[in-house]
Amino acid sequence: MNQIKKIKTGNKINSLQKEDNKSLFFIIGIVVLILYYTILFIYPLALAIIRSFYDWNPLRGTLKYTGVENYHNLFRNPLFYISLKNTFIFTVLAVIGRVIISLLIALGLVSITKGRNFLRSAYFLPVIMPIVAVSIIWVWVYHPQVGLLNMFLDAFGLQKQLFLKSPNQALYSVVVMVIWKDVGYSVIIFTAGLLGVPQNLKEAAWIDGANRRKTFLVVTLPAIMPTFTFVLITALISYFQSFVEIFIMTGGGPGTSSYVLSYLIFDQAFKSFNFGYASAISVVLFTLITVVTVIQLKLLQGGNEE
Amino acid sequence: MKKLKVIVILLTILASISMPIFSAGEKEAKSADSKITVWIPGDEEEYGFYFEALASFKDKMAKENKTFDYVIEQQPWSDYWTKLPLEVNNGRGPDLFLTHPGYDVNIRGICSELTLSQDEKNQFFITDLYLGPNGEPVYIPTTFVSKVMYVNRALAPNFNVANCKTWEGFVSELQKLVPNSGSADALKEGIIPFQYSYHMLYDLRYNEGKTFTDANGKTMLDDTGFDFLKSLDDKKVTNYVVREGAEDELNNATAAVVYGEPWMEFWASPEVKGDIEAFPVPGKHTTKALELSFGINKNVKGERYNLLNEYVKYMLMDESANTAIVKGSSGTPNLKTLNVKYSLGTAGAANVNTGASLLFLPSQPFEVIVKNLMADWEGLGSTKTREETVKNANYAANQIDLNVIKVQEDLFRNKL
Repeated sequence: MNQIKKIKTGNKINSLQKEDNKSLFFIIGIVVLILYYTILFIYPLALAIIRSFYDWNPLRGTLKYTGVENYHNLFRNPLFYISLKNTFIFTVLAVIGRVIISLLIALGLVSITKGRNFLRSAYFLPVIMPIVAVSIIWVWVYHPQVGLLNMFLDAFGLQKQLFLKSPNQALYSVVVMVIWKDVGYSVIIFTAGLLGVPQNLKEAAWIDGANRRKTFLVVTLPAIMPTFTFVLITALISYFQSFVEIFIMTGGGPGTSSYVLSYLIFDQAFKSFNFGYASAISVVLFTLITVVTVIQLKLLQGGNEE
Repeated sequence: MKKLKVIVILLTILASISMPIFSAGEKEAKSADSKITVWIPGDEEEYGFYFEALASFKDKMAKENKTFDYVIEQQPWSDYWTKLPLEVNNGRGPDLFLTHPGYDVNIRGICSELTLSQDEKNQFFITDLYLGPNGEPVYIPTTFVSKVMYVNRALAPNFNVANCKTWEGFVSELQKLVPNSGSADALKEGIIPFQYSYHMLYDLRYNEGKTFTDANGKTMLDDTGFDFLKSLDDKKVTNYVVREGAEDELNNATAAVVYGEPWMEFWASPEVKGDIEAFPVPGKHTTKALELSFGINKNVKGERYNLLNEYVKYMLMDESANTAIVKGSSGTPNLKTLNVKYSLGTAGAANVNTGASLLFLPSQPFEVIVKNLMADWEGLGSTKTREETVKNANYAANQIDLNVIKVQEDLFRNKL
């Protein structure tokens, strides 16, 4: 009896020890996560919000409280509205282009079995290329005299275009590049989502007389709505903050024709050394992204519930 | 156990918030030792004259039994102008560093004022452009450098430089080079007669007798020069928006004439180096940039400061060191007694023969505004009207420190 009691007590002690180990592991994980988010996210965010109310130039060592002057100047700055408009155009076109094209490609991929893996890898290849290298390559693809695209246009007797050298074409040229680069990522996600759609649902629709289009709209699309939401929201957040491609391909130009908000932040911080003002722009951008994301979530999730 | 978990989590949050706060702040001043740290945003090939000046100063001091050594650190140009003031303002940074008037806005405040007697100051044409809080200069121009024009003689052997003393004469020469123009000197397709940079807008403006700021330091940006630039495109002597920058067009031999910088001659590609000839920018006024003396870290005091002050004076007044710096920049000296000669056709000779030049070098934020002003205007391909472009540029200019522009323009405001 005593032995049984000892064994039972021993087991209880062992399981308590296991519980303690789990708790310790849990604490360590939480600590690391908190450290990571506080240092790399919460602290910089709080600092940016606070410093947006200052005339802050760390190069000159100035830090003077100015209240809402930065925001006042920002909302009177014509370049802010140019950048805002360009940001919206860029984001909307890039998101729509990426989502539609990747969904179409994914639908094609799930309809085949042979070569699916190879094609999936091929589409994903641009995603893993460094954005800087891709941007530089595309600057040459778009070159008005010796670029690949203009060579094709010339070969077909069409007029050469200025692309990145044209204030009317520069922004859209960058949009095309980012869609080309990022579509593969969404293809992978959509493919996974589409493969997860229960086959019997589609079969039931076919039996009821639905054609392929109606099956897609009524069965497939609602089934992949969580995937769709994820792709849409992540693409939106990503493109609102696009900077590298603009920086390398156009430098915000020609002139200010391809300025976006993230480039305006860089311009103000690292060319004009106006860090307080740049912080104000980044606060506005952060607020914009948050509002748009929340609205999007509510709309899409509301649709899901229905 | 639960309490312990909560305490650990709260302590972690507190620690992670506190760490950045306590890590900020000034470091201890550098201890006096025999090493002088020097920052230069380039290598010995590019700034050989500065390296030579440093070496010859060290030899001079050795003869006076003052021995020391240099630690010369090269920083990339793009990082230099942000890293330098950040380091110095945090109690670190080099003892001595290269300065540049375009970044005066950020670096003047990190420099010690120089100690110069009135007799020493009188040896220069100008010393009071960049003053510290006590009215003493923090750096002084060593060299004045104008923009220059370059003609590639292999592409345009008959281009008549003597006819380019005015902008009208200059354009008439360019028109002879236009491909398919019927002229015997016409260039072949794909090569343009001329490529310029936005800096040319400064020259065109001053040529019209206008400044960028008024006497109160407010911006006066307008569309002066736009019509001339548009006319260049219309006459097909250039295509500013579509073509590469002036330096690339020069080095690729795809433009016969470029509006450029004196250093382009030094850095020209081997394929064109023997073909290019420099001549002065046309017009009655051209803008003149500066090379400045080194800055001394504001945290340096005592004997160390005295030594560095001696170096700066040496750099400014020793004929041999100063000549190397002036010639290395293809410029004209600020030191009154220095007489530098250049061979005909070089950028240095063009500088010396440049007419009435105005002492002007814009700050980097101002340059960005002027660059966008040109590129945003519909006449050069954009969709914005002249009025909108000028309005936007003026708004942007009023947000930056224009005092550095005003101070320079005050020197010639009434002489235009």
